[in-house]
Amino acid sequence: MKKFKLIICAVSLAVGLTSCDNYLDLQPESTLGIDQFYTNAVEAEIALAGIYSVFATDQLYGNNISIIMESGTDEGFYNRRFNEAWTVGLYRHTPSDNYVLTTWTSLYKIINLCNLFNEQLKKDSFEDQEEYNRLLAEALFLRAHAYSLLVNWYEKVPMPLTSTKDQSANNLPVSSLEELYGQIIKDYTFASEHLLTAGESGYVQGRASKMAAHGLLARVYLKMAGYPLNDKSKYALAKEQCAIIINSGVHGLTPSSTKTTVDGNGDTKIIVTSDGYRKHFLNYIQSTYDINESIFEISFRYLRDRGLTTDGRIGEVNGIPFAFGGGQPGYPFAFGGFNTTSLLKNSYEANKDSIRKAWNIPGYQFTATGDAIAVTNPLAAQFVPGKYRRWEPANFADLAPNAKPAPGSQEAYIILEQGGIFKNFTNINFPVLRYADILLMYAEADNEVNGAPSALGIQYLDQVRQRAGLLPIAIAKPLAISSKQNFFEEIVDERFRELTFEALRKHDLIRWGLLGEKLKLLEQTIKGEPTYSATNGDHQAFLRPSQFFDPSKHLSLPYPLQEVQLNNSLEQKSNW
Amino acid sequence: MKKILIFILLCVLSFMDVSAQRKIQGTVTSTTGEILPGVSISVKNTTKGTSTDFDGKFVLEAIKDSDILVFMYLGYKKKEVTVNKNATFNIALDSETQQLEEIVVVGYGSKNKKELTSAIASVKVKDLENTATANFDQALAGRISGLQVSSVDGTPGAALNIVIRGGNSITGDNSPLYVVDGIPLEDFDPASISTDDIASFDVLKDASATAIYGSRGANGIIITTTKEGRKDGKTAINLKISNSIQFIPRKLDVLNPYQYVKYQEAAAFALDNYQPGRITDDFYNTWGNPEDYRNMTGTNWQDEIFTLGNIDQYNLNFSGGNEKTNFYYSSEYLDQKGTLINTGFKKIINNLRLNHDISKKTKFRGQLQYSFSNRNGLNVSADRFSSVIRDAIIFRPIDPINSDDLLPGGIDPNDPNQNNFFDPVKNLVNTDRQDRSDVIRGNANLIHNFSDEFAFNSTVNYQIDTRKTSVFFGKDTQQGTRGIDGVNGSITQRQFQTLSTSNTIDFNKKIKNHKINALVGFELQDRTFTSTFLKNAQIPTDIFGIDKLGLGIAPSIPQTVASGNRLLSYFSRFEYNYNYRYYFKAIMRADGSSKFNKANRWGYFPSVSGAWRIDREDFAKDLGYLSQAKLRAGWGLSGNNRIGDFDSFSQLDIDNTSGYVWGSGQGFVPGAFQSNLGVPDLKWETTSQLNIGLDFGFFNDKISGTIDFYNKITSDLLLNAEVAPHTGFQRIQQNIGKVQNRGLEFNLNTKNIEKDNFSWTTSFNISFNRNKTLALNNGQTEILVDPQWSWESGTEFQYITRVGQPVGMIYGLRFDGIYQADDFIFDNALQISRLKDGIPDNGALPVAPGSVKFVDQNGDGTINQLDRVIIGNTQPKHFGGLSNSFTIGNFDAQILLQWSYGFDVLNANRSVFTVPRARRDSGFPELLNAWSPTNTDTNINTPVYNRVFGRPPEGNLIDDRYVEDGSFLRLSTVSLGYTFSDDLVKSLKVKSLRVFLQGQNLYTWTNYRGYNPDVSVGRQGALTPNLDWSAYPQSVTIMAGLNISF
Repeated sequence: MKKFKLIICAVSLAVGLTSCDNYLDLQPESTLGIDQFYTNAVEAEIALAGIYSVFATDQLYGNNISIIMESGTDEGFYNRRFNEAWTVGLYRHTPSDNYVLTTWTSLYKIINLCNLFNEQLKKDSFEDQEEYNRLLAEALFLRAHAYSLLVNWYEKVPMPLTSTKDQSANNLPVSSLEELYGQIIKDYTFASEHLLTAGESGYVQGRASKMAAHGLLARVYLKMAGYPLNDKSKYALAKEQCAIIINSGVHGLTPSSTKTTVDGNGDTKIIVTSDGYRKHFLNYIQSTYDINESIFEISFRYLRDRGLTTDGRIGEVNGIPFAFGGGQPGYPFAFGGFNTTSLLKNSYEANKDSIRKAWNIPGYQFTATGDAIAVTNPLAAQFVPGKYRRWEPANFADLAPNAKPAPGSQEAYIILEQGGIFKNFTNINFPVLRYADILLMYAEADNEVNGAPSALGIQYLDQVRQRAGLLPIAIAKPLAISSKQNFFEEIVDERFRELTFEALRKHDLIRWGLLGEKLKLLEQTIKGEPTYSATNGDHQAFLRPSQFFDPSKHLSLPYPLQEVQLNNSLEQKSNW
Repeated sequence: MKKILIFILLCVLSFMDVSAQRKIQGTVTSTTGEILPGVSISVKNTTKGTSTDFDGKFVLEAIKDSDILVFMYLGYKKKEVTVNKNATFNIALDSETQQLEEIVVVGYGSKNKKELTSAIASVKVKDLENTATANFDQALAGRISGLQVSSVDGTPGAALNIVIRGGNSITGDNSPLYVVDGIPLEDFDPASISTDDIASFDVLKDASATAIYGSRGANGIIITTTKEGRKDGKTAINLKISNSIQFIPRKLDVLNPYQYVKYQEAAAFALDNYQPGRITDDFYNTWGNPEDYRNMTGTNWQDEIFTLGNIDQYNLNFSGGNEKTNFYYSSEYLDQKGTLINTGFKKIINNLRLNHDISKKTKFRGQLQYSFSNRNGLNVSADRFSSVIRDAIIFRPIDPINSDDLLPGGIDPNDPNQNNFFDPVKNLVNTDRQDRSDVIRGNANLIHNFSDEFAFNSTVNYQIDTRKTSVFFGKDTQQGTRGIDGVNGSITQRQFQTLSTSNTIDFNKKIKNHKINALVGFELQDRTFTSTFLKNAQIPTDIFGIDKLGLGIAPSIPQTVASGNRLLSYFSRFEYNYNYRYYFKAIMRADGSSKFNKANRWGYFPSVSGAWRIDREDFAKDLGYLSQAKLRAGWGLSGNNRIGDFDSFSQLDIDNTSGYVWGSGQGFVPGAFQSNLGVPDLKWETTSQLNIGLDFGFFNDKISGTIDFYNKITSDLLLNAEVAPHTGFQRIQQNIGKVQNRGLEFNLNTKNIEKDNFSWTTSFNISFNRNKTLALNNGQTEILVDPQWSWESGTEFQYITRVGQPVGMIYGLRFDGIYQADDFIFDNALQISRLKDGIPDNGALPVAPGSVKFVDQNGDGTINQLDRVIIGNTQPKHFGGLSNSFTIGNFDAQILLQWSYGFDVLNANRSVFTVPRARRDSGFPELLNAWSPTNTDTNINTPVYNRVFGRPPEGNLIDDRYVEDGSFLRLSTVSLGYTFSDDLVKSLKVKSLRVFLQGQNLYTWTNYRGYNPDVSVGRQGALTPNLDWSAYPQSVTIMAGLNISF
């Protein structure tokens, strides 16, 4: 009996021993193994939305690369003097800076997801090979865009083209600019061959399109033609890409209606009866896609009331100050940390460019007491961009100095933004590539290729001017088309006026080699303002970008400290 | 147990009245069967007596049934036996030393303390019971060497941080594994058992002991067993009733009304650039003459939010049965009202234990337990943005004579900067937060003894632990009034289900002087986890509270999560001793876990240890003063697998932040992202530990103690390690890095006086632990952490873990005084004054006399991240406890002092409340000492003048002014009891009656200037220790109660 019982126990122990390893095989239930996904178009689209989502975070287009890091040019600067929170725009960053790290990390997060997509998308499970190519093309488009942003900001960077498998991926040297651009061109080219054209059946608004790939490729070629690669041969390629878009007829400018009149002095004047520039930007603010002029944009929508994070800071951080309402829901609060400059104001005024001035730097604010007032002093901290305005006065007459709201009430305002209105986060989309940019890129590249402005180049510039209610350049500024250099300078200024606050200026100035010069000019202009005072701390603080800019360090960002510490194949840039 | 039985027997027998006198006889031996000649036998309360002869026999005449025989013999324990109807007595006396031979639970078995080869410490259960605490963990501080018990803060019922012999993990959990009645429990909540049900409490500290729990043993193990029923055929009923009051011992010193008005006057003057101007005029128009406020009492908002707390506690237990079947049932009810209004803790525990011997060889042990606990009240330190403690400090103590139309406390409803500030009383009262836990635990245990040598033991355990957190913000709360959600409520429910079994075969054999004990076993554990989250906002009315969330119009997307893990283990233990003199023990455990890939799934955890009982050597027997001496040494490996269930899998996730909008109408599209990179070679974290110890006792153990030295090295740390971010990840769970803990522990117990009517014993323990980071990832030298307590944005790394230093050091700037006029020169060209060459700015531009100044460590002329240095050591140099216990007649008393010495606390409160700024905020009295042109000798900056801020810019908030020595000595426990004499008890028809008065946390001696230095609200565990920001203060508890047995 005793032995018998012993045997039972031995057996039960043995059962335990043999049941063994299968018992320990558990699979995740609320998440997916990477091998289990990417099997059909629906899953591929979820994967793509996840990649777009990273572009729409605060670390990228939601705030940092669209606003904060783009400060510190002749367009504008950080206006809070009590801290240096916008380090990169003040040229006060270090390798351990958070912007330096998060921009890098977010872009590489996108690249890793694109690489994963590229590896895992199962070709065999698609009956329609073109559908497979189209999905892949979208991922490669996004990867190319992430790499082009990385190269813009950091120049030479590591270039992983396969997804990260383990920690051995830590050590990866930087690739040369040629290698990086080679890959970017390859990816954009594939995208341009396989993506749908905007408006075509099956195209979903807000997503990458064929022409977007051509246009961003043009931007890359222009960048290659300038600093730091200075490969002038790329102008022709940029022109070629722009021409594809222009000749396709798929895109165009949102037109303005104008009346041309001749005044008493015999001067021709254009009166804009319907403002296409304003109309176009209202689309971004009001969450509607204008796929005619907007070739590529990043979409934002406030859905926090449903627990979803798809919103951005556009129009809040760089919007027209609105202090009334104590930041409560329903009030279009704007912090207005981004000051614009008298350089931009002067450029509009010198060119009688009232349409774009009225939109981009309207000069007003809504006070905490409910008074809409004009802001005329360029050295006021409320002298900010109006491009992404959340609100407007219902009655512009209220801006007059003597117009005050009745005690206990406030002046009327109109909320332009659509959707839930909350303090810190907005619904406003951000333009990445507009048709106006294509026209101006063509004009610029063409001028360089021909050594002088061509008729077509001038015509495209005039299309942009005309929409803004300006006379053809040959009439308004005949000197500007008299030489290659003059025309180049006109393009520099035209891009300033047309594309301001669209996160293009800093990189334009860097590729042209003009950043330092423009910052000096900014300093002189600030100091030349009649209201400028050397003892005014605010005014002193406005001089920080020019004061701290060091051309030997600040044409690109340092590598993040974490990268340098952990990537043993990468050395910090010599000046850092 | 035996003692209790005899005591009960005596109690029972004493009721009988027998008067007949007769002759009795008997034999006295030792428990080991040795015949004892010359044993003195007396009859209690008489002069009658005799002693045993050479054969150990005795005879006594004229004995009544009610007489009590008292047996006494040198070296043996005194024994009393009531005669009853017996005529013949076979008395076995326990040797005196055996009285001290405590039984210690070691995991899958128990051991006589004298035979241990490992570092295992026990807490006297009486000591736990005799403290005025809601949960047993609160009573542990200072009781055991090597056990560091620290509080997060004083939140009622919250579990404490218990770390045994220093933290091994950097980013992981350092809490020990709990084994309750033989069942290893992860995520054990101390509130789920009643302190009064604990029968023994043992702490396994070194690897030679913990290796038996293999992969879960590295952080040390706390083993508790619960009480069993009595076996004497009687039923005992025990009732304990107590009531406590609680209060916070100190409030922070804040500006009184007069001081506040003077501070605001000075701030207004500063804003006017230190000359009379518009702002000063406005101030006087609103406030009038500051002197008018001199005698006003105003409001100290701390008085509004704190109140007198109390605890009602009832324990009832029944215990009964016989040798064959017995039961123990207990229930506890505890209701605590916290010292912060509308906070509290409640628990109800039901515990049934049933033992039944099926046959002489087969025994069944069963237990069923249900516990409910609920912590209610706003989570004081968990939210970065709103804080009732902060609001109570910064709210102004008085409103101006001429109203400035602000809300109470000086809050401007139209100021977006004050969006997070709210009336703390309303926030507390109108926030309904319930943290409820329901644990049902059942286990069945079958023991079969095949023979004297072989025993089989099988246990099956099931536990379901449901935790539900519901939060409802009513109208009159910060969220309800000023947040984007309005009135809103959310419910998070998490459920952990554990099914486990362990089966062992035990072999025992003694051949002459050789004793062998061997154990083999296997264990299975299956854990599943589910969680659901739901939330609704914009609820039009708060009258229903959390009970009708459907009214809201802004529901969040509901979330669910499911997860699980499994563990399969085989283990064995072999023990041998020769003549109770030389001991050897070896343990081997193999654990397989579903958390790791197939290739790394199995971990092996060996240990060896030995002991030499010097006191059993012949030469030692001559040393009369030496009553015990044992040298122990052990080495072993134990592990840690506390990572996410699927961290070794590369996973995609879809969550509420990973979606995008596109298409006409810009509709939401869910998006996927890679939530985890599963490193293929992820495996166990392994801790190797060497322990050398000495147990000693002198003068019949009147003085006894232990000394232990250990060296613990944890390698292959399961570190959520930073990686090169070009990988697309910032951190990946890896086996990287090394941490060392070395230390010395010392325990001393003395029996100072041992008389029948008076005894006094002392226990003392002290621990020294040195923690050091030996290696991090891939050549990385430091991990920087922002604890993110501040509601203001910006990143500021305030903690650092650096190779060569302890984990979690305080990191910040060195304060270098306040800028004075001498630091500036006037630049004629620019017509401004600027800093002299060589004097750095403070990270903000411009600075002016009165701004704070820091040491420019790298000499680059400005202050930023690069100027931060280690400014505080969070690890104590030593900690320990001293307890004195007395019994005087029927009185018993105990005093426990507990200390921790030589560690720093980051007093973040002071970095906010002593820094003047251009706001209406009140704060600490230091604000009055703000810099001004006429008050330059100060460490407090100017508020603001000439539009220059005196305070540091964002990102430079923490400097060494806010690091304080947290050393403290605490009068932790004082307990006083009186047990009523038998006569009185008899007349009340009860078996025993004890009344008691206990105090907990009565007084703390410290130079620390916050509420309490025992605080650690940082949310990143070992990386951010000793952070004091808006913590729930610790309370003093005074408890009175009585204990009746029927």
